Amino acid sequence: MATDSHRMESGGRIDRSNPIKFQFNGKNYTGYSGDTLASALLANNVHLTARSFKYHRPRGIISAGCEEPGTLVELLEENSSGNRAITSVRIEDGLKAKSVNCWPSPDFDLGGINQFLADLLPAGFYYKTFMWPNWRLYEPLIRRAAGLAGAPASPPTKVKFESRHAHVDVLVVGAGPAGLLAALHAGRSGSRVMLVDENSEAGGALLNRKVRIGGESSLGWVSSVVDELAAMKNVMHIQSATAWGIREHNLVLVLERRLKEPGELLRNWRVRAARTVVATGSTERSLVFANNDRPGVMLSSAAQSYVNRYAVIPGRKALIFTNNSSAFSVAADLMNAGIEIAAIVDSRREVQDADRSHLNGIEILPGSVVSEAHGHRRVNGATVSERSESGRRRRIDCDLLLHSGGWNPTVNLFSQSRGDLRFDDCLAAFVPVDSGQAVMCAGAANGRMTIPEAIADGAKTGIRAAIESGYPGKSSALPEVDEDSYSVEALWHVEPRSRRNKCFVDFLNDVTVEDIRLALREGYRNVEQVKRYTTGGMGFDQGKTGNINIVGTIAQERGLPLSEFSTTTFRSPYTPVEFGSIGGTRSDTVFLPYRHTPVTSWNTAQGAVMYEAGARWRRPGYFPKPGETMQEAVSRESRAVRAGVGVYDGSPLGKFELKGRDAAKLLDFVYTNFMSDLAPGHGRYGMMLSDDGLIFDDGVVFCLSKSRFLVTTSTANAETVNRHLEFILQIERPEWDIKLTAVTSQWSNATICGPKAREVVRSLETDIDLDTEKFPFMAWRKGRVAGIDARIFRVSFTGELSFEINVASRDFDRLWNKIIEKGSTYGIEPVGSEANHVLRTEKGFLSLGHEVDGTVDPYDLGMGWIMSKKKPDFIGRRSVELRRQGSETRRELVGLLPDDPDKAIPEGAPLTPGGRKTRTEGFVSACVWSVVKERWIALALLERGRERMGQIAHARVQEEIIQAKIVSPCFHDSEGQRLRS
Amino acid sequence: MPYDASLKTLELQALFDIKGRKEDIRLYLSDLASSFPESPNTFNYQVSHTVYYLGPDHWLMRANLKREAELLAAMRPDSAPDDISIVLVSDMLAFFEISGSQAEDIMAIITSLDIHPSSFPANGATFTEAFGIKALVSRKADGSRGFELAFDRSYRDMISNCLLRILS
Repeated sequence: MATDSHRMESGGRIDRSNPIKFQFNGKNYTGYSGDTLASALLANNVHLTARSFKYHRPRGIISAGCEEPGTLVELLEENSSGNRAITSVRIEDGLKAKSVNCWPSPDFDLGGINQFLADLLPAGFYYKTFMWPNWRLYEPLIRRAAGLAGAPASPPTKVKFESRHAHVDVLVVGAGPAGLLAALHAGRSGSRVMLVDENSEAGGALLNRKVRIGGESSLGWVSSVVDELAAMKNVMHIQSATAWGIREHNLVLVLERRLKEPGELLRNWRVRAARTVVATGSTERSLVFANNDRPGVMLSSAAQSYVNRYAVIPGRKALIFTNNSSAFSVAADLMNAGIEIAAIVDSRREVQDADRSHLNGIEILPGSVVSEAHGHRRVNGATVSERSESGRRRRIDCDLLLHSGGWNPTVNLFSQSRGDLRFDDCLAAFVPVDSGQAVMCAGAANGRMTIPEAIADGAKTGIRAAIESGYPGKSSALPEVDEDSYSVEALWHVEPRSRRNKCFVDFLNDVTVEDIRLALREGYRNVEQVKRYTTGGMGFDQGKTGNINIVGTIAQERGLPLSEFSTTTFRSPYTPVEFGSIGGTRSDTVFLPYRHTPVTSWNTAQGAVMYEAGARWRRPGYFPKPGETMQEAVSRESRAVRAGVGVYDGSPLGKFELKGRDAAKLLDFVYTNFMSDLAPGHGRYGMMLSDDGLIFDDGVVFCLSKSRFLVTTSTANAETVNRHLEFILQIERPEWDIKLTAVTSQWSNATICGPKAREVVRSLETDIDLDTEKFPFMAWRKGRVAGIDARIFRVSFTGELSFEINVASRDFDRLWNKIIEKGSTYGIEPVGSEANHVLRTEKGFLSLGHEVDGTVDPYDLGMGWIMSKKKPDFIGRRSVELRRQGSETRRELVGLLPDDPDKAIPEGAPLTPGGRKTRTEGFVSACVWSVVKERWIALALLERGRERMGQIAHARVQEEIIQAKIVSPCFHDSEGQRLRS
Repeated sequence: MPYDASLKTLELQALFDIKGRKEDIRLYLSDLASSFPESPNTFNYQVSHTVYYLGPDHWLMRANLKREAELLAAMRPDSAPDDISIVLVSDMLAFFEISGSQAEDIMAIITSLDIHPSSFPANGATFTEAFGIKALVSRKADGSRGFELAFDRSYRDMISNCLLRILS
């Protein structure tokens, strides 16, 4: 086991009483509760933690936060998760993690050979090289070599997912000094406040620094503010919660990582906020110089964080390279921790006295830069060059090279909300200007880079957010804060002495200054183009530390001021988000919604093969008996209906009640044929068209009374028809007096069909006269069936005598069992949707999704008779007439008989002239084994199909061509005598 | 997780979907119409029945199933004038009750509805989405802490499955 040699004896925000054992790359280590994987490894003196994406160069830990561009890890086994920033993983007992981008380990990586080929692998190499013969040929190999962690093979067992909603007046993102003050003032106003922060505890930058606020330590002040917030019932405060995206109307997505025993709860919040305060602080950016990626080269704020927050000594002798004042306080903190400061290299010509005052006896080298880092697996020194004409160089030894390129306001969320940014010359950074939504920035995210400024800005913004949300804003005295200052002078990169020395602007994607120059030479002029060409800023870190250097380098190379440039688009997620947290509890058996009828359990108990049959309804496909194949079962059920009797559950059929003085008028408007002349007790088949004259739905309308109708629709379209009718009633014809009520689930329907159907219904005992003369086809009757109040409809989808018995759903299983019991005398068979498909195909009845595919009108299906010539208007009429006046060749419904009667044609198979590989002239919409023809039959939509009766059509099926004779689409009882019997 | 909340699947309720102008309904239903709430998206609870005001000229009357026949006889849907629609829909909706000190947390998981008392009062009731499916959400009619949700009955098994997964 490695030793804990780089841990300070005291200090930090870790719990030394709670040691934690974990594994990294197969080796065992120990850390403490409160550690991240990064801090725990540094405490164990592990610096080489990864290999780079493209060149497989040794890499270490660069930052201490979510911006980490150096090391991604894969969590294993119970915590399985890929490509996590090493700085964002909190350790827990038993955690197992490994590096990505290397094999077998970062210490010895076979892919490291790429370093020797680096000159052959510039930006655009893949685009240019792997064009011939086909990129797809090389893609699998290249992807494998790229080597990021794959998606976990199975969900993590120790992680629970949840997704939940929240509504607030003010959402404050970030619990640093500005965010805390914003939340405090918004909370005091009485508004509903939610404060979220990505760290495990509040404080933001204060967690890493040692300053005094309000006469006490900054963390003491943080603690008192947190206590006050906790006492407010109108404030919700969540730590370890990252706001990762913002959508329209201030919908902010927040991922909370809550440790629980055992494992972790990942909770994705969807927060609808009236006002959002972005107090996300600022992000330190890297400096660009030769070999700036070596392990041991680290952002200076990261070292400060490891020392102050985690009590870790990241190195014994540090060299600091900066272009701004913030690095001086870092040096002071490191000295206090016992770390030797080799020197401070400042690219600015002059260093202010205020900065120098932090340090005594430390060598400060103004007007100098680090031109090259030395060492391979760990930095061991650097070359420092003067920026004067002499350019004198010297080597300084160190085992920790810290760099600070200044600070960027963290404006990702603000930018995602469509807020505008502008370049601020003083800060050498992009700052927020105009917001696109009710989003406002505060503190460092707003360009207020010192703590006093951030606190004042946070309070002001919190008050403003409360007032804009309709609450009285109350200002109060602000705490006194230590003097603080910030100054920076832009330095986008340091020119290397040799072009072989790589200066990285994007660590994760291995993008160098030379790559940027190459892109410019290739003609890619603006930031977006350069980004796409080089992939700079497209890694997991989204270029949080390096994008500005890319923009700065482009500006510098082109000799233009940065104000003429913009950033690339900030996209969500801000940090990687697990899919599971978005889905929440909607996984596994409830991943998709499903609907049951009252006899679903009966169906499954009979061994029915169930599947979705439209609109999320799970229906029986067929009821196989022991030893039966699917085809045998379907044919058995079909024969039962043709020769005896069958019953199927028709409950999912859409049903609506229409009532009102204008109900008949609406029906005449939405159906192609007349409905207003229906008498009570009767019904009529109808077809609805869309505005463009294509079939939208079909169903039957029954007249319940003069102003009251029952409308049935297809199963799949029930909700769409509902919306269609509501749209007409609410928007197009609001003056019509009609009430529409959905009753699909109120009524469940058992359809008894077949020559013996009447006998079975009679056996159930009913007071309804079932004789054809009294109860003809397309009529309905109300009465009692099997002792249950019922409505019976005489409609047929199978082409046989049918009775649709509708009862209240609560009574349906009782009715169903009675039908099965009484029907057994007549050999009744339960029928699934597959047999229904056979039966309707034999009859040539249309089916939505098969013949009705959104391209056909009634004439195409040979149903021109349903287009009323007498009605003044109905939806779709004009479009159909216009289309029919043209010369367009239409596909028409036909029947097909394959030359080989035992040969099925796959549904969907294209029909082409002569079976040639050319434009299709139609397709097969249905193909079934017909129990009446004892052979395969098919329906198809075929160009000029009706003119071609008796000719041969050709279906292209992979390498085979199936010939079939074109015939009438009705294969059974073309006169319709059986269904009217 | 787990949450301090309990789930109860309610028995079938007597339900009548009523549509029409309030004045017309009042004329037709006389005494029964006196219990109709004044504000949209609220309900009016009475011991005998509850009436929900769910949309423009849209109401839902709910009672114990035992009263279904009595109410049916009193409301005579088949005799209602043309400008009033009364439809028996008792079998349309499956009701669930979520109660307990963390009932609000469960609601936050299943629906995007803002259930803060300032937005959703003690007699709040509205159609919204829960688990992405149309649902009638209301606070418990008897005033105790908790919520009632009603879904199309066909979704009952699925909703029950979802709720149990959250609560377990």
